[in-house]
Amino acid sequence: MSRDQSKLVYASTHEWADIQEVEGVRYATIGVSAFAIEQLNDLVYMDLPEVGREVNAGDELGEVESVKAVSPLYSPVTGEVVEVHSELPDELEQLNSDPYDFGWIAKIRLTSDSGIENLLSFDDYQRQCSESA
Amino acid sequence: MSLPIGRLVPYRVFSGVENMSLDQMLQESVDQNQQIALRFYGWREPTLSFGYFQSYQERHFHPVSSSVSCVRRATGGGSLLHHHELTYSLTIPQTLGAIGPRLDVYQQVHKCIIEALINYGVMVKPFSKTQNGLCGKSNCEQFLCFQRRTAEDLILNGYKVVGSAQRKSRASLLQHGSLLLSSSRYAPELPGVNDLVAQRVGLMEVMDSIIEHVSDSFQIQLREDDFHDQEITRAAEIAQLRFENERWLHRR
Repeated sequence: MSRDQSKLVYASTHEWADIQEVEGVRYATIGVSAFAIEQLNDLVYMDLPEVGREVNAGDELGEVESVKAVSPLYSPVTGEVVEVHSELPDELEQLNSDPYDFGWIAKIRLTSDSGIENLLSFDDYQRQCSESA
Repeated sequence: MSLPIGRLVPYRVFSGVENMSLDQMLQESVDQNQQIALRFYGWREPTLSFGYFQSYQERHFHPVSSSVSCVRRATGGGSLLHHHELTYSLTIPQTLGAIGPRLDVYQQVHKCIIEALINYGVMVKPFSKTQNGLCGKSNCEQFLCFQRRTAEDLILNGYKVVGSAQRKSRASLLQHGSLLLSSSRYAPELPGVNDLVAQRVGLMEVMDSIIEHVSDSFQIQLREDDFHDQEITRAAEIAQLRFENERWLHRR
């Protein structure tokens, strides 16, 4: 089932989060938006976070390289990294065509103060992108 | 109308670890004070720097440089042999929502270098405007950065003589790069500007010219301001945590 990007929430730093609840525990699957992938322009490397790492919203979660520029990726939420998409760094070309499904980066188990209330709706995020384009 | 003030750190020679630590310290400063910082520097000894994501194992592909000291940069790209070159770093403020490489900054700084070299009658041009570049023949597989080609690299007589790389933080962009002045015995396959043209390009003279062009291009008034004691202390902390640490060097 493919993700509907209009149902996701977004950080102003261009990470998306898909919030799901399983047996009373909330998880965020996160990735990088299509807009950001286009701006990143020919990604060649990506570093993923370690499983088990605790992150706060806004913390650096990983890094990417494109055109000799290293850029951080930020966690949009607070919680513990419980799963990472370990195949992604070897198949970055697929990010361009499928940023919302194949392009997921990590799954984070949310804490009670997860910070999701600070994330942008799809419409607000689209507005930010059009203003910065 | 007066121009905004930018910081110009005067040319000094440091070790590879110190140079990378000072660049990171400057980026932390710009994150805080949002003032452009331009720095030029040399290398105390020939040094091989690795790109942030580059595998240390690739060093074996280049035996002629096997005896020189190494450091891993925080920026991307391939390995550089720093010996007879002028190195710069420019750190500029940027907003949090900005993402991806800043091609415009590569272009803007390299244009300053192009104009500085024109004073010597040396005509370098971006790879994208060379015959191979127009054919889209970029090459990013080589071990040495100066054997790779990306669109903004500066080319003279078919050889790359200027290359730069970037590192983004929350509130700034660091770009550093090298103008290769002459070939090193540790990378004899890479000629510098002075090996390719009859005119001699002097390090300090070309640096002064680049400073003038950066000042004009970025519309800033550059004021000389050397490193302060507390900045040197912070750079030493960064060195210990990162650039002189064997785990950092061998992280890939």
